[in-house]
Amino acid sequence: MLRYFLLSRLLRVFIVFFIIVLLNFLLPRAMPGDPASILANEYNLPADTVRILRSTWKLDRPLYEQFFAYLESLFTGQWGYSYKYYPRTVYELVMERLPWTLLLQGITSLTVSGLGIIMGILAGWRRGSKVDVSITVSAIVVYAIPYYWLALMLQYVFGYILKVFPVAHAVTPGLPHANFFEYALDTLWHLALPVTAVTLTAYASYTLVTRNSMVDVLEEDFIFVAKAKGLPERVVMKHAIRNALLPPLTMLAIRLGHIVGGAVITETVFSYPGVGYLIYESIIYKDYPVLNAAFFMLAITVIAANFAADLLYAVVDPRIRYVKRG
Amino acid sequence: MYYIVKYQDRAFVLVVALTISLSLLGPYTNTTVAQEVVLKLGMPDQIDNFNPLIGLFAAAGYIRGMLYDTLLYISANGTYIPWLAESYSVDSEKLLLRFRIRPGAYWHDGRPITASDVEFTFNLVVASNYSDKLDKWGLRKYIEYVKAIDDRTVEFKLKEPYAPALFYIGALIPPLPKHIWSEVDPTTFKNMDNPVGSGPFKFLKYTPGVSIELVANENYYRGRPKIDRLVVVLYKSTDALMLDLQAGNIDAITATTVAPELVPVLLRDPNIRIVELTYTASLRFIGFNNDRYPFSIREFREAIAYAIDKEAIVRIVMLGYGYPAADGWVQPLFGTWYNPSVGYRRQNLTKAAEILDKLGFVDRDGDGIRETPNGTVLRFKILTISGLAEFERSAELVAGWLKRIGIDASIEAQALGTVDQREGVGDFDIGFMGIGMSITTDLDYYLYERFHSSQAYPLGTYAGRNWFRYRNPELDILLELQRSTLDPERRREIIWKIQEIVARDIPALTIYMKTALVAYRTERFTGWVESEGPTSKISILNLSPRKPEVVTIITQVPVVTTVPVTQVREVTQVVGGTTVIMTQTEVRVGTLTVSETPPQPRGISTETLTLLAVLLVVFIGAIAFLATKRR
Repeated sequence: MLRYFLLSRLLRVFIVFFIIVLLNFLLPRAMPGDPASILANEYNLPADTVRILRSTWKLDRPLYEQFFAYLESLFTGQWGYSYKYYPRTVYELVMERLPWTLLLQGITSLTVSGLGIIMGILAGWRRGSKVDVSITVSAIVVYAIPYYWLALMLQYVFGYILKVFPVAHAVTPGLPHANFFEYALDTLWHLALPVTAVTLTAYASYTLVTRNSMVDVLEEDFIFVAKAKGLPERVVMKHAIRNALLPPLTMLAIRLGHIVGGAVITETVFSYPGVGYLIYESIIYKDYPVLNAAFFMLAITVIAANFAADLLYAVVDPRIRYVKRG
Repeated sequence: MYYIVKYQDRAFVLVVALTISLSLLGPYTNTTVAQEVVLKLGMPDQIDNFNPLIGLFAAAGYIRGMLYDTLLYISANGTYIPWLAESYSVDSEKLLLRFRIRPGAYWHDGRPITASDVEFTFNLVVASNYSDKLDKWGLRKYIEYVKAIDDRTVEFKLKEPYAPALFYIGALIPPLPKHIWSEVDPTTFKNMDNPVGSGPFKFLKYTPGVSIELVANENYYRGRPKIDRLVVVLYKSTDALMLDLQAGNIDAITATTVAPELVPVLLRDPNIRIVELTYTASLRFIGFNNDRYPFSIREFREAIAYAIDKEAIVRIVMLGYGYPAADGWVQPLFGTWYNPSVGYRRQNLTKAAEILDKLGFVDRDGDGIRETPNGTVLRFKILTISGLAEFERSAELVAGWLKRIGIDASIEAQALGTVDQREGVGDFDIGFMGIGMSITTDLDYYLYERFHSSQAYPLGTYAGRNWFRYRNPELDILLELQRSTLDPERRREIIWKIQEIVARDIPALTIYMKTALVAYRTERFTGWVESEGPTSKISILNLSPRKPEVVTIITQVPVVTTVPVTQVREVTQVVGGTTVIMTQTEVRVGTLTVSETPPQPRGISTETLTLLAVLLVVFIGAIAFLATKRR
């Protein structure tokens, strides 16, 4: 049974994968504008540059030739040369930024879901109490603050007035680190504001979902029975939490799928190195090779995350079984 | 009951663990970096590469400029200063340019800089297998040969007179070390692993997305810079950049300008100085589609020119930090190249209406909008780039004035790529755009490709710079003539004439110049050369760390002595919208507190840690309290 399930899933994944590879090539090229002339315009370059760049990037060749070059670079090369950052390879640009993105996104995923779920459990467990009201209301209020404004205020208050946290960057520019411990601390210190900003604006959705799911579960018969049996509250809570966690975990799985996409706004406001800003720049400058690689990477992680989530459900929730239909 | 105790225990353990780990930070905060003079500059850009032949980015360009010296240096008044070359000569008869390289000049790896390096570099551009990709300036058309005559003399022979040659050869393309570049493919060489240059600073480290660090070149032929380490900090948003400048995390900004709204905010800090750069500014203009009726009519374009109030835009959009642009494309910042008799058309709505009436563009159906003689309504779109508030506001004002002379104009703001493409192929009526202008670039660069009819391709074919599609044989001759005139005085006359023609025909209407305001902090360094630009190479070489002048305080009682500090300098201090210029005056800049300790290298300070610890404890306490609140 499981083998059939795996095979059908894999086949589906492969079909999706090939469609993605094709769309990935076509979509960026469907945007209006020419990468060479945009750069020439932006940097006030001589008119001849456009011709030179177009021939360097093979943009003057027929589309099918470009497609084969794209396939080749996707599977063999370093994903080709970036246009804007020519002659640096896309692989190099992405790898320079990916660790920072994974760090920032990984930590914020933990803080956002962690804080959100804990708050949600507390609120749901004490439904209707002052705790519930204060958690729910404060979550909604914080959720309603525009992210950009909140980030700027954090920078202004903690970075400029109090000078306790750095305004920008992932490490102190120009500060030599004596050892890895110092480096790690410096990194954490710089993570403080971005992580706080992301956590505050994003945890509310987890809180609300967890709370509602918790409330639902607490109405269930098995909780009633458990209470009637006289089980200690701690045990009842444990049973309730295990059942209430499925919806927020789904949300987390979706979030993890997008983790390599980076966080454009956070990276911009805090000048944090990351993939998100690279993708954003590439869209503006029509940097096809970077877009191809980034979307390819994103697609693969989303597919992988969904695949993993499918498998995990079967493990987490014994009620879910994948069976052959008909 | 049991689990509550457990929660409290956990909270307690957490607090203890945190306190212990924070106390471990102690040694870290006390580490002091060796007494090293570090200058930090911030710029909102990224790094593409350090290859001077193909690099594009402004920020990387600034660093390339610090790593590589050019033969000549163009100062802010437009004159050429011998730099890596100790002297140069131009023989206009024989079309020969000769440069003599300074003795005692070495590459960063210790090898001497010779004429053969220069020969090699320019041959790469004009006479090698790579020329097709490297020669984006079209120098092959003009340079016949490059030859090293002896170790220190290099000779360029031109095929025909070419006035911008000195600029491209002397000031734009830096000589590269032959022993390194002869072994690489210069079209794909990133030059990011320890680039070997000739400039005042050597490459130290690139931290992706954060900074580039350079160190002083001990053997620099103009003397070692007094700055040990130059850190160029990269930003993605100007908000963070300005906050860091205000917080003192960086000493100056470069490759960007201060927005007018920010000037009063920055000036609140007595240690921040704002300087208006005299040699560069950004031109904002509207380009007409000269291939599209009725923009093909000169008088119609002139009517639009009379409708626009340039002073008002400067006042409203730029808050006074700009000036109305001269109609002849060349602006006053170009010094003697600017033709003062050209000036600009002042708003005159009645005159604009008269011209339109005379053309037969009248409002026949009484809806307030004029029609062409064959009945088409004068309804146009002003195409501009979305997301740039300055552009959109200015375009709105222009549209408003056009309405007042009976032309219905609306704004169409689109993404950069779309705007560029549509203008290039001529799919627009009016385009609102901007370009940077600097006297350190030869004027030919701004004129020839912009207005020569050879650059105006038919509608549908992309035209990079003459997207107005302006064709005028009379101007073509002058544009070619100014290129081939080596005598500066004669060339100036031609360029003056060009301005008169452009101002008469207005294929594109210049609107205003946005002045370049830069800012720097005064408390750590002295010697900023404001006239050249605070972050220019000359200024950076002139900087020295500020030191307390009297050092000894022996008595037990703390005495704070203050010494009045005066400096002779050329000052352009911007005060609330008006520019007050004080030239060569002795200015008392304030008092310097002698007992002041030198600024500490920034890291995590003890106060920071205390506050951090307190915050964390409060936060965890709050959670613990919440958890234990009930029962």
